[in-house]
Amino acid sequence: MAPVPLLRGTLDALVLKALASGPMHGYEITAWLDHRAQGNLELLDSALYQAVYRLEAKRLVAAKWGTTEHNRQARYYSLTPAGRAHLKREVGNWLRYFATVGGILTAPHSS
Amino acid sequence: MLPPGVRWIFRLAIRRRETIAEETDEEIRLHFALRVEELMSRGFSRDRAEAEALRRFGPMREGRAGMLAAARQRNERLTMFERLDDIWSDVRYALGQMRRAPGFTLGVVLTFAIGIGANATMFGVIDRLLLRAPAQVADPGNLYFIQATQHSRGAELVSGGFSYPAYVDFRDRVVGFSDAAMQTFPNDLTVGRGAAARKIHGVMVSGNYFRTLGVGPVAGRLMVPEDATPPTGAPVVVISYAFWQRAFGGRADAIGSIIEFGPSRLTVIGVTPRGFSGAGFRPVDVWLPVTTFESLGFMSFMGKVWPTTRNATWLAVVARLKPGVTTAQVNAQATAAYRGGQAGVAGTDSTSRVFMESVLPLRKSTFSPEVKVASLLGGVAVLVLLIACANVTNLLLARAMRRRREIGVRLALGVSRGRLTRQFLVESVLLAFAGAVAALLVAYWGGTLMRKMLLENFSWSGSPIDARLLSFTALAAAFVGVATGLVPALQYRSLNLSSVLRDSAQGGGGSRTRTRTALLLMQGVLSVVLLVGTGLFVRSLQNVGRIHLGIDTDRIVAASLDLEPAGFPAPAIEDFYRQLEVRARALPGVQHATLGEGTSFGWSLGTKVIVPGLDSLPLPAGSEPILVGVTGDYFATLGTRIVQGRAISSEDIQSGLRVALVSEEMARRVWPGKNALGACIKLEADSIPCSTVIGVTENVHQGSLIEDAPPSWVFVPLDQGRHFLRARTLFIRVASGPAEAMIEPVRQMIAATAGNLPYPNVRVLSSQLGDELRPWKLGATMFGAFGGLALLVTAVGLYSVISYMVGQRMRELGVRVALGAAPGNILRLILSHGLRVAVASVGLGLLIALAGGGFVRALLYEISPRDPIVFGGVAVIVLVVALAASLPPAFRAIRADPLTALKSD
Repeated sequence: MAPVPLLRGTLDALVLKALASGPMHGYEITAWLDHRAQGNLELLDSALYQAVYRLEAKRLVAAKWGTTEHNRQARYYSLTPAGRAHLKREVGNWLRYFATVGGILTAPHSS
Repeated sequence: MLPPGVRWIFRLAIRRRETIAEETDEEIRLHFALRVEELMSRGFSRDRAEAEALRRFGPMREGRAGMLAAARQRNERLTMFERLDDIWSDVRYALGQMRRAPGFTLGVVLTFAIGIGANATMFGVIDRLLLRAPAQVADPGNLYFIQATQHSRGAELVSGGFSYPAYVDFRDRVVGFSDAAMQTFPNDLTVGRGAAARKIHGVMVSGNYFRTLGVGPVAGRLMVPEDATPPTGAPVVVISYAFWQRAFGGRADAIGSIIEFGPSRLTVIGVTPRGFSGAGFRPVDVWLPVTTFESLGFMSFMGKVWPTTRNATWLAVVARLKPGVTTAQVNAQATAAYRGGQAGVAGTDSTSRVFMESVLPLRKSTFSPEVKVASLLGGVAVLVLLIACANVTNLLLARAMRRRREIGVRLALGVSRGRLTRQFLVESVLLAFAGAVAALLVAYWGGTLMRKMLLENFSWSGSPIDARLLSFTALAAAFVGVATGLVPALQYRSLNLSSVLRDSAQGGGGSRTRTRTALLLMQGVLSVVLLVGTGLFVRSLQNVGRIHLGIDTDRIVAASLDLEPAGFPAPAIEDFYRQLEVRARALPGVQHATLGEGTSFGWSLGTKVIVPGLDSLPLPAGSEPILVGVTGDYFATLGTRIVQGRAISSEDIQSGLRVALVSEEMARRVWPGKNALGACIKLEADSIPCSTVIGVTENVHQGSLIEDAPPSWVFVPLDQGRHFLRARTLFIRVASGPAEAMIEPVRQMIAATAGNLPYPNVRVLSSQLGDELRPWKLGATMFGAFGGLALLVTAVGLYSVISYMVGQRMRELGVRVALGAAPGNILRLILSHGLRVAVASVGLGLLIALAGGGFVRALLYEISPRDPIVFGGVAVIVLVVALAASLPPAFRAIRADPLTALKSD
């Protein structure tokens, strides 16, 4: 199957979810997402970076320069307490959304 | 170069775009490197891996641009957040500090409240008196009152009073005017009759008045020229917005309703806009056509001749200039018109110059005493604020000294000096704004009080606190907040940890104590200056109060009724007053009662007096003798002393003997070096028989406290006065107690004498002096309030500095006590510090007061701005207060326990 485009607003939640497991630099976030999406999501890396910057501007994510295990300079991102709370809210919203929309879409035909 | 403490403001500019681009590119580079590595580890060739990485990234140029834009936006927002965070944390820190020292906070807030409150109050007053144009008037910059100069007794007098024909000359002959209107000066009018009667402020105007001022109605219509065309005009009245609300509840049916003014019934035709008080600032309730002038009984002596006589000046002219015409041009035209019209009129000065006086208070050539005093008080309020600022700075310095260790530690922990400076400023600005809130209360109460007590004859509308006052207060708070915070902030920039830890909390700080003493000195000096001002105004007020008027104005109640316009025939009026006189004598508390002709104190009428053998009276131009008809008791009732000869007796009156008394001034001028007794004077005309001078009275004021020269008086028996002068006044001398208490009984007595009378005008003679006393009262009260506050604030400042000094030297004092120093020595040691500051303050302050005396000289009355009693008194007061403020800490020093002193710290 061809990859599906991301629904609006989901990218932010995905990035927050990625960072929930600990600080990451940009590439680690893309890799984390690729690994879990299994190529099913249509997403450009540059768009992901912009999403990260936007989250940073909203202070849901904080950034800090650090060094990778191979001693390279990288910008490490981590969740702020506000980001963690936001993620929790978003997850709740998504679950409700899917339950509702999914329930409607998968209901047997009743005519 | 900016001081380092301010640079944080510009941090945004320092964070450059290149850095953002570099950072972003660095991130993209790393991303590609890792992506390619990962793909190659999965078996891609380098070329294919790079192509795949690029594909996943997206089009490079757009992708990078999008990231850069997002990064820039991010940095801007984060910088803003950071600054807000910093400020917020500073605010929280400052609030914490304020909470931790509630006494200190309260002291500072109160000091600010006094300083800012004094300024806000005075701003409110000056704003109204000086900075605003007359409300609702169109293009007030082009509107002028006409003034004329008149040479009299060698001096040039300026007057804005004209006769009706002179007004018509201006209106019709000055081509530079687009319009010229007239108005009387505000009068007290009586509305209604009997119990419902009350006083309101009325102005009589020409019909083009509202057109000239460019004001329209909010209801109904305003007057048109036909409404006030002599001789009769129309029975209409225009009411003010405030009066509409007060008397009619703002109802629409007010238009068309009737208001009864004495005998006249006038129809309300319209309402002026809110706040409108004509071209001036006195409160006005109603505007009447000038043609009602006669029927309302105003200056009834003038009778029907008001539109034609040039002998009475009773109106002001307000004119609007045509566009493009200069005041110099109209001044010349108006002077020509005026001189032409007045030619041949007795007592006029043919060299009179006419000039335009703007209705804008700031552009006036002369300022009323109220405005002058208010402006001076505005300056004084600024001094009070300076004192308050010095005091707060002092308190902040003292507290910063106590916190120096904490500050040192913070510096050591890496808090930047800029941040520290900001913290000081945030704290002082917060305190200033808290003070400003309290100051608004001060301004509200102060403003209300001043309006009521000291400036009641100004048209006030709205709350004392308006948008302008709020902005002023906020500005003042911001300014004093920064000003007071700056000194401690800058002093502590130089601190470093080692110096803080080296000298303990008690040691060091010598330069800071010097700063504090200097601030204290400044407060002391300013307080001394203010107190000198207070003393000078209080003494002026006393001197004015001691002026001998020749009439005991505060013991005399005068009552008069406008009976003639109310339709009473002349004989009935005469009888009625005789009846009043008899009844008044029977009132409890009345010592004397007498009838007089006209109103001998207030306004009066010059008369022609002929002395056989003299071509004209050797009196200064424009100062004809004032004629008063009196009965036997007159002089005893009014308290006018007879210095020579005797008073008019009842026999004189009954026998119809033609006798007269003259005032000292008249006797001196007309019969210099001779005895006036027995001389012959003729009233009005040569054909009238002689009146023999039987006595000379002391000089009597004409109607105000301060008069250039004593006027000349002629007193004759009541019915020998002028035939057309039927106006009578009943004078009642109160035996004891305040004369005001007699007003109501007299009013009731009059009402009980006959039915359906117009509202009697009953007043204590001195009441009209209130207006004149006002500037001094204003000066004395406000100077007193400000001076007192200044002294209080300074005393508290002195107390706190001495207390601090004692605290700082506790150890040393303890050692001294331990070594056996006598308490007297320690007391002297501490007191001498406070007194040195006080003596220096007094010395410097008195020097400044001496130098600045010229500024207030014109506002004082018969007192030198260098009055030794005032100067000496202030010196004594300040030294005593300084001593009192230094004593408590000094006694604390005596009780210094050597042990605790040594152990402390």
